[in-house]
Amino acid sequence: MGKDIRSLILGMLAERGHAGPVGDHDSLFFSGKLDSLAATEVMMALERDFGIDLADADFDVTQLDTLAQIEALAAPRA
Amino acid sequence: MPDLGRALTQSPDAAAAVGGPLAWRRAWLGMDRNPAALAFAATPAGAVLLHSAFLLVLAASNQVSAASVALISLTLLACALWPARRLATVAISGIVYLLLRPFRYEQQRLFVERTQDSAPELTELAHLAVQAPLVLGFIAICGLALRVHRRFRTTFFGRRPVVGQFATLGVLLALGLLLEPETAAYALLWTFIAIYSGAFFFLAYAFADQRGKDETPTLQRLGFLRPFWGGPSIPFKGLTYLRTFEAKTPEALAATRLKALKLIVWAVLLVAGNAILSRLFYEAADWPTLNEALTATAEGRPLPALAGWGVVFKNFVVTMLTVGAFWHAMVAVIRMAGFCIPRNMARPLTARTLAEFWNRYLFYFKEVLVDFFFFPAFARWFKNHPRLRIACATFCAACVGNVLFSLVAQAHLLAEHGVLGTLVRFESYIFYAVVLAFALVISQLRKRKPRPEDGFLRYSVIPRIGVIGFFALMQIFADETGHLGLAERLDFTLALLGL
Repeated sequence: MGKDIRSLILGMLAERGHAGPVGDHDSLFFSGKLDSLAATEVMMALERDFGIDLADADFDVTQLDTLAQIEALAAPRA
Repeated sequence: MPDLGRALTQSPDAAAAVGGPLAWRRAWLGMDRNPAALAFAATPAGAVLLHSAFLLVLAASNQVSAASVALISLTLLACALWPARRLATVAISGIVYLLLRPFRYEQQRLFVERTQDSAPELTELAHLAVQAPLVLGFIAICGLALRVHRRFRTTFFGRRPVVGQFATLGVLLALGLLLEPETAAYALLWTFIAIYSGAFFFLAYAFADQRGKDETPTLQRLGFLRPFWGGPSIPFKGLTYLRTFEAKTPEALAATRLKALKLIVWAVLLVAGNAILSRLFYEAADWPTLNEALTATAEGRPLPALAGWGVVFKNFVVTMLTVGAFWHAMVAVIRMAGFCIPRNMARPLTARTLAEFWNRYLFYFKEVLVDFFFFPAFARWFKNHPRLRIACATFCAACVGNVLFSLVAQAHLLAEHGVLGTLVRFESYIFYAVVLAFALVISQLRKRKPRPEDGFLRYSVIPRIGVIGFFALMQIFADETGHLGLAERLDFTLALLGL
């Protein structure tokens, strides 16, 4: 599943013209590589595929900025 | 800048660098990746030269006051001398800035001074003597609120601090409207409201950062309620965000400073472009401003349609240049301090969709709306209806959040015009926000986006003309000054369309 969320994100980056390599700790959203619409797609995938509740008090959208953070969030539920 | 020039010409592009203006432009734009320039910028002499050049260009840009240039200079000097204490330096400078400039807008400052001058108990006191204790009180209350929030994260306030902020502001405004004008209590409360409204979304980001389990000491956070670089009430997100872009090595710091220099020079070029175009438009061609054209139409002297369209597009170009220069200067200052944050405006005219333009035009304003209005709505409402979910969240951000942001930033208008008067003043802006929200919803939900295989005209030309045309027209309504109402602005637009 972790691979799926990574593929989704890499696909979105490619769609927006970022074809180069992206490190696990590179900023995706803060840096403007991906926009807020892409963030909603990632969040919907996290909800749909990993059962994460975005309205949860512990859910923090700022912790979704890098591939490593997103995969870490998804990992316990994968 | 002979040393920097030598560094540029010592690069692999050196041969090209002597080849003419275009090669020099290439070398200039690439200097933050040029090893020779980076090495020079990292030396003490390079740092002195870069800072001197930066501050000279910043002062020449005319985007910040002389007093702000002085505070920025001192802060940058301290950041350069003690890079390991950069955040603490910026925080201290932020507190000083808040004490010296507690209000975001000149009109707000004048309003507050009027209320103080009309209160018999306060007329003998200097304005600063009244304001400084209130600023310190405000900082203390914010510190307490942040500590409480950190301790009680699972309570309603812990989960929804911004709702708490709005509720507090609502109570303060209600009290302010109930108090007798021309009294000390009235003057003090409205001064406090003006300070609070200016720092409202900076505080919101401090709460948001704490929710992210960022353990930054509260005292340091308080220095970011109004950072030293100034600007209106749009934050460059929070401290967590700023930290993400902090230069961690001397090489990264050198590159960040070179980027800062490039950006401030670009800001000055935009200022110069704006001055030239304004002279051409207003003096040589004798075109009216948009407001003058609106007034003429309202007085029954409409411009010919073609001239009207000219005024609308001229206004769009001048607005883009003005906004771009100002925000580039702000970002350049932050970069010079060692934080390589992205630009606020990045090639907006290349946008092919309305949503993309919105993202490129004012990135940090859009982020405020997304962080505090879009995501909360998106996380809670219409979870089983993806398209409705995005539409609702977009409306909450682009319309509700947009209008609330403007109302909060100018909360003092309620004292001057009352609730109804303020809403009437904002009627055109509210209309703008509603239309913008619907347009962004359509733009986001449209499945068919322009693609390269559509051909040059349908991929590169028509979508961009559509986007520019839409936002140029929307500028007619994006007015917060209350100069003429929605009816007059609609009349002008209908006249443009020949209706």
